[in-house]
Amino acid sequence: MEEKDPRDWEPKIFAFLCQYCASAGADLAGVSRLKYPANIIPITVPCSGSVDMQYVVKAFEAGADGVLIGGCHTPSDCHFLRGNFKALKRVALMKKLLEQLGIEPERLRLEWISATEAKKFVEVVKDFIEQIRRLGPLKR
Amino acid sequence: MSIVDLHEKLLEVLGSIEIVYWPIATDFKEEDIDELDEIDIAFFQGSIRTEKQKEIVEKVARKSKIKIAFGACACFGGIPDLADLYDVSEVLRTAYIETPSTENEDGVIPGTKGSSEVVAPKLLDENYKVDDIIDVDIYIPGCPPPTERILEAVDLLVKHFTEGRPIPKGLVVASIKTICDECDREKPDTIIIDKFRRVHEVKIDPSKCFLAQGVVCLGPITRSGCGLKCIEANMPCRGCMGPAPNVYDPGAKMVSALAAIIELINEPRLSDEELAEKAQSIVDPAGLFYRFTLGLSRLNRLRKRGKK
Amino acid sequence: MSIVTISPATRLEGEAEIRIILDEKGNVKDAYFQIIEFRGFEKFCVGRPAEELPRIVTRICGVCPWAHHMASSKATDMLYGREPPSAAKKLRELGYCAHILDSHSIHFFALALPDFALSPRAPRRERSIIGLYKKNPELVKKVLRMREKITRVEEIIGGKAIHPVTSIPGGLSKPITEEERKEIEENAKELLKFSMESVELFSKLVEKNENKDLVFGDYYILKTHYAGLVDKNNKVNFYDGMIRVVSVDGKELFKFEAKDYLEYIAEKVTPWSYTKMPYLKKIGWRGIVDGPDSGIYRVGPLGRINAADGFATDKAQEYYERFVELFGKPAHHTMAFHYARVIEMVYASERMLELVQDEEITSKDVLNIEGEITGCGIAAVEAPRGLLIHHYESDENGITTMANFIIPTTMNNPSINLDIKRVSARLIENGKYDDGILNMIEMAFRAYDPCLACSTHSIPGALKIIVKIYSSDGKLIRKLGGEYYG
Repeated sequence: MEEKDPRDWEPKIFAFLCQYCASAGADLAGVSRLKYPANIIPITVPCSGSVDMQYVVKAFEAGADGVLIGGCHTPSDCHFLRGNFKALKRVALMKKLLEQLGIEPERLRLEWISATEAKKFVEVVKDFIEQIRRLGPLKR
Repeated sequence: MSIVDLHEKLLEVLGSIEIVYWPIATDFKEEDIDELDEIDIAFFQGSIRTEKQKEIVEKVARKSKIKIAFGACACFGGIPDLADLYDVSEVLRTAYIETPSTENEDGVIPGTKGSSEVVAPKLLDENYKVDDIIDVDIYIPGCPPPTERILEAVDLLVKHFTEGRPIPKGLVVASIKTICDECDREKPDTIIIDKFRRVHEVKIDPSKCFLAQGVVCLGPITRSGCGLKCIEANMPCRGCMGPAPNVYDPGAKMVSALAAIIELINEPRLSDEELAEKAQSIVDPAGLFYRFTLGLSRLNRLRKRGKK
Repeated sequence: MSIVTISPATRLEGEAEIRIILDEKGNVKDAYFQIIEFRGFEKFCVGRPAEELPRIVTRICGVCPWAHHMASSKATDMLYGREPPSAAKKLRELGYCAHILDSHSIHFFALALPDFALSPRAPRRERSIIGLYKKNPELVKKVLRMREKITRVEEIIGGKAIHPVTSIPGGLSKPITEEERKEIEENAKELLKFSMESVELFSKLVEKNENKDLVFGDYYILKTHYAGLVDKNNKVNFYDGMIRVVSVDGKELFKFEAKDYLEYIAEKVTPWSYTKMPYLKKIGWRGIVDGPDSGIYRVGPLGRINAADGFATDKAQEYYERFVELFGKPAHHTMAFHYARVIEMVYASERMLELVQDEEITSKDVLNIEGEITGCGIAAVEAPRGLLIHHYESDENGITTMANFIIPTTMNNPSINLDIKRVSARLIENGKYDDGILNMIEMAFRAYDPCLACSTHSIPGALKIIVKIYSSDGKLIRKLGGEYYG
């Protein structure tokens, strides 16, 4: 198999976006014709709290160099009431686990993005892609 | 040892089998393995750390009809697999150069050729569980494997060889239920705690769920079948029976489970930073969630492969 | 030059090989007892919360997990600045005495006895507890029944017999009930009887002609220093005490607390074994030689019986006096290890009885969680196989930053090598040896009851089975698998 030239590498981000807020925000960005890089693969989930950290593991295994989870703002925006708190606790602890295993915790990111925050979505995505670019590809 | 601790039942077991190699209790040597045409059942206990161990495992496996991974180390890597949080060279350095009682000006590391006429076998670059090296038919988890499970496995094996009863490939001789399912401590509908506590920071109430007291317990993701001896002894589960079926990565699973099960007091009124801090107050998640199962960690495997 | 290899070493805990180097004439030039397993606890204990260590370090060994659990408990008591309540210390010692019985009984009956009760030169396939069972099924059944009583005590106090879990910095996770106490007391009484019978059994066996020479002759004899834990009366204690080192001539050389071990003990590294070579710093390292000028020292039942002035309990003390008559003091004969081991079974049983009858033993006050973290914990216990030292350092949050273990079998490593070399040179001449001779060479290490998983802080092993199905009237109806010995 041909070795890919490392200079050709582009960060790959998997984004788990909650249906009610973040995913809607991403849609709005699209509808508003706001440009953002194509390095991101969006996955709509019912709630940021439904994202089991095992999906994060699978995402890394499947080629993600970074994983973004988008949810509704704390404390009261979550459609399922407390899902975003669950996500917050999970991501915080998962970052600690990643660090202990020698994987940069910055590769996992949690953001609150409401349905109207199209601009924020774009800014977050651009910023995350650059952050991952600086970190380099996840060694796998 | 767990086999000897079958006590008198061991004699019944011994009555129907013939042991051809068992270094701790019998005098069969390696050359006796070479003379065997076939072996019906091979129990592999422990994980595989040196080249020599790998060779013997492969040699025996080639001749064996049924191969059993016996104990947490063989099944999941076990506690010794924690060495794989580090590079093998670091592990050797600490053991043979850095420890305060060691005098080793020449920096001798066992297993590396020097001027000695004899040398210890080399370490492999990582610690391996048995199914990393060979195909495994049956897993008997636990540290140690519980007596009842050993007897269950022996019974299965005898029926297999005498009545032709089939054994599903990859059978795990443990419950499909979790420790939580079988634990009869008081479990509130919602667990709300003020903070997480380490095992020595509190006098644990033996009647209440550990998690409800803020003490991390791996019950939610761990297979039962061990008789819950640790729980009865008022100590939280550390996962030696291995993960429940369908767990993809025990560490990531435990992170998810903990956050789902446990609510902090006044959670909605905490700031994001405060809540994150509370979650991160759990010390050493890698060493705890993967205490016996680092060999199953997909994350660690990613990192290890990435280094090569 | 040729090499005779014994692979693997058998009837011991752990993985080892013996390589005997013969010169051109076929005489022994050198011999190596190579321990070939390794795990690296010193590294991966770093980063672990110190209070978890008592349950992590048990996995250094599946045969003597209690030794590590106890050393670790005491070390973490010190690290967290906690004094356990007196009932907790007694309970720990009680469970621990049961463990000494556990470990010693399995070694004596399963690993050692086949050489004495059958013969060192018995056919290889018979030299095992299975062979013993064929010869004397009642004895083996009794041993297993007694062991069930032992493991029951371990379970009551430790939660699990193998890999106890109840020790926490400052005490234990739970007390025992009066019902449990009674059960332990009943078991202890039976175990005392059994232990005394074991001493009598071995006494008779060493008088047999075939064995007498091996035990009392000069096949296996080293003049080394000895070390063991002693109580304030210089009597043997497994759980606590000062470390006493006694010279080749039986004079006290040093007496120190575990926390000062680095002043007295250092370890050398060899490329051919994963186990190091500890020695007494103040005497010095002269290589693998014995004698008063060599820093090597022996531990374990022989080390203890030599380093102490006797046992604190009556029956054990009687047997001790008999032992001294037979072997002298200090006793340098390596086979005396076996004798000392069964005497220790008697002491452990008597001590169990004392403790279980103590009025405090069912106290509910078994845990003290008050204390200021010190960040350093060093402790010693007497493992079944000898002096065991655990040393930890931590940061201010109790996260381990350093872990060091000095293991009894490691302390005996130089002596095991020396014993093997001497007896090989004695038995192999002109390149002639057979299976019986090789086994007699193995007997040199077997007396020490080495625990190699411990000494390398690892565990593979394989158990392979051929199935033979017997009908209820003893007829072989089916055999699966080929012939496995000629």
